[in-house]
Amino acid sequence: MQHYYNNVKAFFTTRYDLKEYILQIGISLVIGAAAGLGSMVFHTLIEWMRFAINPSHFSRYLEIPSFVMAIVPVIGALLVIGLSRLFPQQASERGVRSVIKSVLLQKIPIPFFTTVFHLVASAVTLGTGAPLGPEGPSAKIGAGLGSYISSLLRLNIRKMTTYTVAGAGAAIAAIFNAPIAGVFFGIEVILLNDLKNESLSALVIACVSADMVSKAYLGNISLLQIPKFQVNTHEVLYFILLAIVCGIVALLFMELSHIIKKFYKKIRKDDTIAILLPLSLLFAVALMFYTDIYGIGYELINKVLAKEFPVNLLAILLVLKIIFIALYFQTGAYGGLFAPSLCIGILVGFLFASMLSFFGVTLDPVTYALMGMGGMLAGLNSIPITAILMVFELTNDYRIILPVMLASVISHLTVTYYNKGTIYELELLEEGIDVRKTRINILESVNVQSIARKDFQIINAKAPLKKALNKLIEAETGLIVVDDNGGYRGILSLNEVRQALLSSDVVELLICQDIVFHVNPSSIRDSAAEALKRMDEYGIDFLPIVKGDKVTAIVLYRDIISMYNKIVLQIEEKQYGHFGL
Amino acid sequence: MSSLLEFTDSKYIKFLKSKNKYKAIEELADVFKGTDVCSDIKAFINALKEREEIMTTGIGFGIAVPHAKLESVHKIAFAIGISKKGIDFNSIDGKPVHLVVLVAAGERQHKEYLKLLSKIMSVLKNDAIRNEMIQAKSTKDIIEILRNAK
Repeated sequence: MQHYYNNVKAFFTTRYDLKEYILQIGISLVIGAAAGLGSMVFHTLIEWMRFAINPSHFSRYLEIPSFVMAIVPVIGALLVIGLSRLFPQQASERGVRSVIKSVLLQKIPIPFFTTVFHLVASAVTLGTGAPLGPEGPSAKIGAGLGSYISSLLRLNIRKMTTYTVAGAGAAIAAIFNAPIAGVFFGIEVILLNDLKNESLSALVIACVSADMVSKAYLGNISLLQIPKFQVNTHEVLYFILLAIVCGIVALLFMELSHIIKKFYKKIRKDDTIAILLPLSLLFAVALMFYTDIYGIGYELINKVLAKEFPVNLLAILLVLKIIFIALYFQTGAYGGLFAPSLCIGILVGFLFASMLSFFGVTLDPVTYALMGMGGMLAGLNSIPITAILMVFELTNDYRIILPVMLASVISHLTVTYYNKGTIYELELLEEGIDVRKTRINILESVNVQSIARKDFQIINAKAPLKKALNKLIEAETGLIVVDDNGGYRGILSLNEVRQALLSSDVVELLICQDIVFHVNPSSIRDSAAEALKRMDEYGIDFLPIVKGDKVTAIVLYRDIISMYNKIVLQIEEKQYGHFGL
Repeated sequence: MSSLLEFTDSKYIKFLKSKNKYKAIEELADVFKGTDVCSDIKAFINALKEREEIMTTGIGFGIAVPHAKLESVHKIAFAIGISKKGIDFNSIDGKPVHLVVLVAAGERQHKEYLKLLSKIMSVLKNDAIRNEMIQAKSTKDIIEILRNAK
């Protein structure tokens, strides 16, 4: 028995990789559970507020006319503006875009108070009827919890980034009760389709863990009540037609959003959140006539699927939904576009099928509504895979996969073809961040000399390795290896010598030249972008800068990243002032 | 790292005649001629000699480990040379070398190179194994000793 115990103990203590691996699974599970719990708290708050102050409930139970209760979004707007004024710093980092930025720029850890602020502010926004969705705030809350737990565990910045991504995906998995969609949300949105990213396994585990929490809390109840529907594969041409319609509606929505954004900037420049007040008054007026546009839209979706509306009312609701979602979203209110996309998609799909019936084509409107949901989600948010999986997980019916696949991919392609990029890429591009080239674009204008350091240590290639080790211990970075004439030969960092340290006899045997790493150096005319690219290629954290064959300075990886972050912040301040995002 | 035998072959083991260290290096490096280890033996020998000029690889106890990383080396490998009479390698303990282990690695095989050197050193540190190798009468004996070495 003791023998087995010793073997197991030795296995775990000597296999560092295995320990890391097990630790990663453990942390991912904890972060997933925390993100799931956070999402459930958020969900409960919204639901409680929706029930407590829903205009239709009040009018039904308290005999107060519904038009009086249309004032609820106005009260919500006042509270949200107040909260944003009280905590401007926390308010400035909103939505999914801010999570992508945190991950991309490694602006981590996200302070815990920021997470709590977003939980409360978003619950107030959505609980008082704003027609936005819970996924942006959920991702923010999940990312915040992932980042906070990582900082409690004193993990390094790379791991913190990993768990921030995992937290964001897990929260989405929990809020929609859709774990696979949560994983793909993380990949498509937060990681911007970087499938090689090391966050992937943590993301998958965290999503499963979050969904378990969500299922334990909510049970297997789906957000949507889907009636029976029929999928006829011979209708493939209509499927494609609807997919293109979804893409066009998504483009129209984006265009409208863009016009509204420009208009808001013109009238309030850096303080668009203040527009929430007049907007909520306008929304209140609309609510007096069409109460169904109130809130996230799940109730409206269920009513549409239950065929409770005539075609003309569906068209009015669609137009109103599109206008108010765009108006609210561009104020910077705390809410996302996923659930609104589902709602718009359902309306578009149902209307599409219903209107074709006027021309003698009989289609099942429920099938097309579900397809529209996927098409709109994919087109508007640039997430074709997440859209397919989310519709599948929401309907729990594999028959819908084929039409939704067509709708999602074609709608997404229509939007990307027209826009030359996804919505998140384009939004970040407006802020000076070209994610397609990652950091390279901004750094092209920075000369490597401007961030160079003169304090570097050199060592002769013929020197014994033992001497280099002593120097390495004292050096901040690695050593520059030179020949007898001071000519550059390569570099020596702890990476190169780590293996040699396994045996003291090897150290005695080697000289620097034996293990020098021949790195192509930077020239004084190179940009920081080129230096960064080269360091990435070699996997090193510093690069010599040479003039002729002599090293004049070195540039550090971390100095380039810090310069990049500084420039991005300057761009933000210049363009968006106090309210950043 | 797996067994040392994966990096050598009975063809790479030679009983050396040379008494001079540079001649011995040439003689031993020649075992790679016509193999898939190195495509430019001349450049390889030059690199080994240049390295030897900077600092001896004669580390005492009758052992020398000349080594070089070179673009023309396509497969990491080592050769073993036995000299019954001993070679003047200018070793750090001043004693003649009876066992020469010559290591060849590609320019980019940094990790494998250090791992192999480390493994060779840990085997040669064992007095019994070292003496057995020096006393060996045939290449077969050397292979057997390496097979049994842990």
